[in-house]
Amino acid sequence: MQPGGLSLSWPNPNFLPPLRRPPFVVVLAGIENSEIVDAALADPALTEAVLPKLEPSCTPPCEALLWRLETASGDSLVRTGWLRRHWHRRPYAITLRLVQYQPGSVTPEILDEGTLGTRGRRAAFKTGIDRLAMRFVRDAALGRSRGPAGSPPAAAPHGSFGWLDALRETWRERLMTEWWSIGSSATPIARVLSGGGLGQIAWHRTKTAHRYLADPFPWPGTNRILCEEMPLTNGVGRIVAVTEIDKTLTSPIILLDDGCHHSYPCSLLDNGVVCCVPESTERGATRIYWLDNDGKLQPLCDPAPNARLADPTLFKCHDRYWLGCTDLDLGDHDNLCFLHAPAITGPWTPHALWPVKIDVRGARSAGMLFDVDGRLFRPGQDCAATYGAAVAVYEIIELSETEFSEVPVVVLRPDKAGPFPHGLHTLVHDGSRFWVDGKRFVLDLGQLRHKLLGRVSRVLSKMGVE
Amino acid sequence: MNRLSNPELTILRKSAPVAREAEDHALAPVRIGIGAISRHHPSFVQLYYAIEARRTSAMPLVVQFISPTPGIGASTVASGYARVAADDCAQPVLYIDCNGSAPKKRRGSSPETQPLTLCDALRRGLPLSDAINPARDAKNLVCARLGTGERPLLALGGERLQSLLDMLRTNHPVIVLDTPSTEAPESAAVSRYCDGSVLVVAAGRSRQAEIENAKSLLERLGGQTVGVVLNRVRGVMPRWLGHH
Repeated sequence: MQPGGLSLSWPNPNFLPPLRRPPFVVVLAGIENSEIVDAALADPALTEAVLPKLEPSCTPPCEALLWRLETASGDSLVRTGWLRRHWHRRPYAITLRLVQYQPGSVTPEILDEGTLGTRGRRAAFKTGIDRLAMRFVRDAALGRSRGPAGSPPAAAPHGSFGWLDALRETWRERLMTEWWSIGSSATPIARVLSGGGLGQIAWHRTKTAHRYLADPFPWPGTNRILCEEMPLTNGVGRIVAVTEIDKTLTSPIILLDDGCHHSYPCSLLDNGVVCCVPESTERGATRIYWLDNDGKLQPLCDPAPNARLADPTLFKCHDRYWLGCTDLDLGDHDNLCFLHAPAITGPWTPHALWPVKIDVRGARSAGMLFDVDGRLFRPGQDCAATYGAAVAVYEIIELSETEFSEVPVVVLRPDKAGPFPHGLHTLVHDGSRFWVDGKRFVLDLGQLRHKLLGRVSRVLSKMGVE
Repeated sequence: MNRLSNPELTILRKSAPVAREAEDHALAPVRIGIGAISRHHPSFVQLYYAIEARRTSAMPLVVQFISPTPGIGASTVASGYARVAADDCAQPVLYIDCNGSAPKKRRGSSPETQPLTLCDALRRGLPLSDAINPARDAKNLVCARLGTGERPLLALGGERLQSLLDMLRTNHPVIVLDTPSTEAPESAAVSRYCDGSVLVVAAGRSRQAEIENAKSLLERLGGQTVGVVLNRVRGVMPRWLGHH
């Protein structure tokens, strides 16, 4: 004790910086130089953890620790023509792995695994592959690898030429319009989970009009259905409620229409209170509301102030609140992320693995989770062939703040003979039956004229014509 | 800090003389090519080498392109300069669009329509490479948007911009900042974090007082004007007459 009673002790005795593991050298193989790879290799967070030496053609055994990017068949991504072989060809998905080989060893250890979609522009596909590869490397360096995925890898590419398929897709986008609608099925859950399918679906609004309904969710405690109402022209959806009376839907009652696009009004009944999280894809706009009996939405909290989230799915598990979502900054259809909180008002914390899963065949949420005999099932969107092509149902095996694993149970595909043969997008259960939404491509002349005028207007504005 | 010196005037003509290239080859068979650079508009090549001549260091360069008023063509000049630089540099050249824009709204919006910006990547702790995209029609050139909203430079702030540029310098030999006009004060304030600012003015449109005000504003805020580009110059004589 000093004279005057002042203590010599430090305010924080442990003032020295925590010991950090020195960076280790790793040979990075299986991927070639590109602008994206070079930029990612210069990331300070990565270089503080590892010293990557890029040797694209290196194969095991290697004298140093080897991280190699491989397809599911063990091919490296530097093989001539692999991009052409996979781009825009069935099954429109490619499984990539980051495999570790110890020095001198040829025994592979899968550090990370994910499945990407192969549709879209060819350059964007290549960029997506590079980004995913470098995300695997960064996460492995920071000790956040996901390990092997629980799903089987994507099949080998087959079918027509990629350029032909891309051309077909381009003209379909130009000429055709998506028409969605909602329907219900009384098939028991057990039968659906055992692979019996959804059976007969009672569809509503099968004829095209100016607005369609999609993303059905039950409004707990009522017989109403929350859904997205979307105009064909401006692409800004709003949240409405409808009621089924005598197998027809009533006129929609508008719940949320603020000029911004909203969809996917996921609901959760919690201690007698209905909470609702509509999708808002603008940055930081995801908001949890309290939905009162009059249909008024009272804001509760914003769980992700800086992120752009798609299909936020609210559920409760192990006495914590969880929000499953797709982070649009990482990819539009291929990742699953989780936020969790002790109370619905927060604070919301990102899962230690962000994202927990990368798979275009089911990572993106497709409806509320449902519990059957203590087993938790998660519907996911299969967006490989097209947006909302099918619904894959997974059983969650492990969910904690640091771990996640699930296994595929069944894939529900649209009925090719039904009125909506091109997509099945949402699967929710209201306690008595399933609600789904389906997609059909239609040739809508009004919409075609609208697209044509938009294209002409863009061309004229590029030429400087007012 | 500044790695450029001495202002110079570069003149960009209104139209590109691309159509006469074959004939020029015939008239001058002993033509010295500069690799891929030779396919660019000569004015952009001239601008590139004018700036290179003023380099006082081999360190990575941050160049700002700014105009006194909007609609002068600063983005076109910045883009043309970046393309020439990309063909001359070994590592990728980075073009950063610092102009603001309102986010688009559409169903199932994708990252392609609302790309991740550098501000967002910084804010979210994501690698900056996630916000960088290869240019569609140029090799060795990558592009990024600084931020969304009407005034992304204000949202980012000076110190964070400095840190951001320091991080980007490690992988890019040339960083081109395409900033809004000096009518936005924060745009002129960016000049102090750059190695030099190129003032783009339009013939017959930019007034002398506007140009002088812009130049003095840049210097008052700690920047350095390394050159003035006179854009949209219309020749009095037809081009075909001038060449013979």
